[in-house]
Order: sequence, then structure tokens, then C-alpha cells
Amino acid sequence: MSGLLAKDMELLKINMKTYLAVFLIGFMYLIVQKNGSTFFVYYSIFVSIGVSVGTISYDAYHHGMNYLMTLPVTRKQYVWSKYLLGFCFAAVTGMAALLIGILKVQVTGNQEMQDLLISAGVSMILAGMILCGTIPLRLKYEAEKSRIIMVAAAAALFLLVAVCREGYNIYKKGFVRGFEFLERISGWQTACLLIVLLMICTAVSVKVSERIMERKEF
Amino acid sequence: MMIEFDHVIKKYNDFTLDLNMQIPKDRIIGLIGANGAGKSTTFKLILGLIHPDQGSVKVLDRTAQDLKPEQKQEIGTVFSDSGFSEYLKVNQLIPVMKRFYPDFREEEFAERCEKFQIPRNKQIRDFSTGMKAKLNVLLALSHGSRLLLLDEPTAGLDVVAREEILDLLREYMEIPGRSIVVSSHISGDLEHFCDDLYMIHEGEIVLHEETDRILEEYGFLKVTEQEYEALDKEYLLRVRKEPFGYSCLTDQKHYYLENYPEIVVEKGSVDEVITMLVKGETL
Repeated sequence: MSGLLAKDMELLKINMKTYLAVFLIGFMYLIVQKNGSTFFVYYSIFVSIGVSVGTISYDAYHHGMNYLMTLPVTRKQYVWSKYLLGFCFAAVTGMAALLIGILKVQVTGNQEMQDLLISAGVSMILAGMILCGTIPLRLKYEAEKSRIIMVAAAAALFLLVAVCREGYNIYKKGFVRGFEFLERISGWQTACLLIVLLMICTAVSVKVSERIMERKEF
Repeated sequence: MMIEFDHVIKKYNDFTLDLNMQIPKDRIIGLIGANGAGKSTTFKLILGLIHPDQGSVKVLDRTAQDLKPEQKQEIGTVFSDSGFSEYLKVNQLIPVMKRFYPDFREEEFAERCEKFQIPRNKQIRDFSTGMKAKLNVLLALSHGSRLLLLDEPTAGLDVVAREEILDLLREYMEIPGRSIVVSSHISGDLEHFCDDLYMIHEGEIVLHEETDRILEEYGFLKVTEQEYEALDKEYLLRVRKEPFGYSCLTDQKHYYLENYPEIVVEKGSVDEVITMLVKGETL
């Protein structure tokens, strides 16, 4: 599997200048905006997802997957390498962006440090969730189709939230009783809950991706 | 056995591949057939890239789909239309190959790149077709594999480059215990290189023969209608009507040379034998 990761790192190097230019846009926003640190952390993490998931498309160009699967790796190892790359790249980018954000907060004092840290944590969880959805889609379909499905899924999610909100207004008491436990749990407990949720999502997503790859014919 | 196809059937919408084939050690096996005959599908089955609908494919004593990375390290593969991402450079491939193959011979690979004038600091997408083909073969030869699977490795190569590649492959076969399976739609490439030839037509093996036997024993009888009527047809494989009478393909050329000294018997090239097998009539 180290061969696959080495290959992905070489692919990332090719477009490093483009990625740096994209990060620079976020960095400029950070400098200019008063409360830009939160945006910068979110922005950096989400750009990193696009970059790491994009390596699947690079692999698929010119029937490349045919050749990759003849190399000494299993289909499962290919799947794991994509999750490892996605999560590690998001974590490293997120940490770097957070450090820069913290520096900005320290220098200007314009923003609460706690807010920034919570935002960074939430963005990492969200990024993980997005990776869990994007990787299987990208493995199953080619880039264009998976993007359409991702947008459709996001639209469906918004619709679901809107329906829930309407439902909340109608069945307010029932909802309040159902979610009363949220008021009793601390911030740390919420964080742990979200991490457990992310781990479950990751486990399910990895299994789905493995199944997609096992069934795939090249 | 290096590879065993046991009554394998693979179906697509309007195409069925039906194979029964054994590939032993120390042999160079050629797969010949027109585009779309099933050669690439055969390679994909060997490599476990596609699953057979019936039967089984065994490679290095394991089912093709269950090949472990350790077994895959013993296989070198070339596809004419696929390889590492073309955005990479040869210099970037070296550390990657080292990770994939503990036996990757960096120095030898670098020397061969120089010999074949393959630029190491240029993206593969900027290579000519010939350069890409050479690079793919050099990569397959770079890690001490004992089985080479080469799907149209000489596609797009000029005559000189083609011979250079074939020389490299001959050198590879000097070590015992190795085998090569190579395909081409140009049989001339394989005629003087392979020990055995499999001719695949519309998903079926229509001929499996030692190359020497094809060149020595197969021939074409050029006969008039009267001569054809008097001919012993037991050893005729295919017949085709010609303006002068009939052209008959036989795998017992010497039988007719001895028993019918008056008729014309021509030696056929592999291409001619194949054409006759595909287009001629069965008796």
C-alpha cells in the first residue's frame, strides 16, 4: 500500500503550484477579514478534500485503473489508501490552517480562541463525513457523475432539514422531549458523540467502498 | 503450470469468450487475433481484472481473482492503452516502483532508459507512442518477474524499436522458469519469437500450435477442380474457391508433397494460415 501512497504523493506534487495558489486565495481572505480565521480553516480543509479525492480521477484517466490493479496491491488496499490519504491530508492541512488562524487571533485579538477551536473541530468532523460520502461515489462513478450525485445528495439533505424544521414547528413538544438529552450533555460529550458518529460513518463507508471495488470490473 | 484456463466463459452483450488453455513454464506464448477477438479480455481474466462467468483461471497456482501482492510481484504487465498516470515523469516513477517492488532494479532500469532514449524528466503524456510502449516494457522487466503478460507491447513501434524490444524479451527468457504471454494483431511480430501460438477468433481458440510446426508443416495446396476432386481430403483444414480452382490449407504438407508431386504446395506465413482459418470453408 505504501506504493499507492507514494504514487499519490507524486501526483499531488504535480499540481502543488495550483493548490498553493488556491490556498493563497483563502490566506488573503484571512488577512483582509476581521474574523477570517474560521473561514480559512474551513476553506483549507475542504480544498484538501477536493485534492485528495481528485487522485482517484487521476488514477482512472486513460484506463489507468486497469494497470494499477495489476500492481502488487489488493483492491482493499487501494480503498484503504484513499481513506488514509483523504483523512491524513485533511488533518495536516487543517492543523496548518488552524495554527495560522491561531496566530492571526493572537496578533489581532479580533476573535475568541474557543470559537475558532470549536469551528476547526466541527469542520474536521464535517470533512470526514464528506470524505465518507465522496470516496465511494468516486470509486463507483466517474468524476462528473459522482459530482452530480453529490450535489443531488446535498439537495436531498437540505430538503430533509427543511422538512424536519416544518415538522418541528408542528410537533414541537414531541421534538423537544426527544432532544432534551442534548441540553444535559457537555461540549466534550458532544465532541465524543460526533467522533463516534464519524467513526461509524467511516467504517460503513470503507465497507461500501471495498464492496464497490471487489465487484468492479476493469 | 504458469496459467490454467479451465473451461472459462466470459459473456458481454454480444460477445462470448470461451477458453481452455494451459501455459507452462519456459515458454513464449503468442495470442493472435483481430481487434475485438478477445485477446485483451484474456489478459484481464489472467490478472483478475474481470471475473469469469463460468470456469476458473489459475495463475501461479492461485485463482486469478485471489492473487496476493506477493504473487503479483512475480508478474510484469504491459497494456498498450494503460499505465501509470501520464502526468507523472519517469523520475517520479522510480521511488514509486521501489515501494511496489522490493526487487526493483533501479540501476538497470536507468541504464535501459538511457539506451532507449527515454527522457526521465518529462511527463509521460508528452512521450511519443513508441516511447510510451518502450517505457511500459522496461517497467515490466524491471523487477525480476517470472511471468510477463504483454498485451500488444509493440503497438506503435517502428521496426527497429520492435526488434530492440523483442531482443530484451529474448534476454529475459534466458533465465529458466520464466514465461511470456504476448498478444498482437500483427502475427509477423510473433512468428519468429513465440514457441506456441494461440489464434483467437470471435472469442474462441481456432488454432493452437507450435510456431515451428505452423511454419514447417502447414501449407497451401493450389489445385485445379480436377485435382481437387482426386485429392485425399483427410488432412485438409480449410478450403477456399479461387479463380484457378481451390486453395486448400493443410497441416500435413509433406504428405501431399510425397503423394501428389504434380500439385503446387506453397509454404504459408502465419498471417496467411490465420486468414484461411478464419475465412476458409470447413470440409
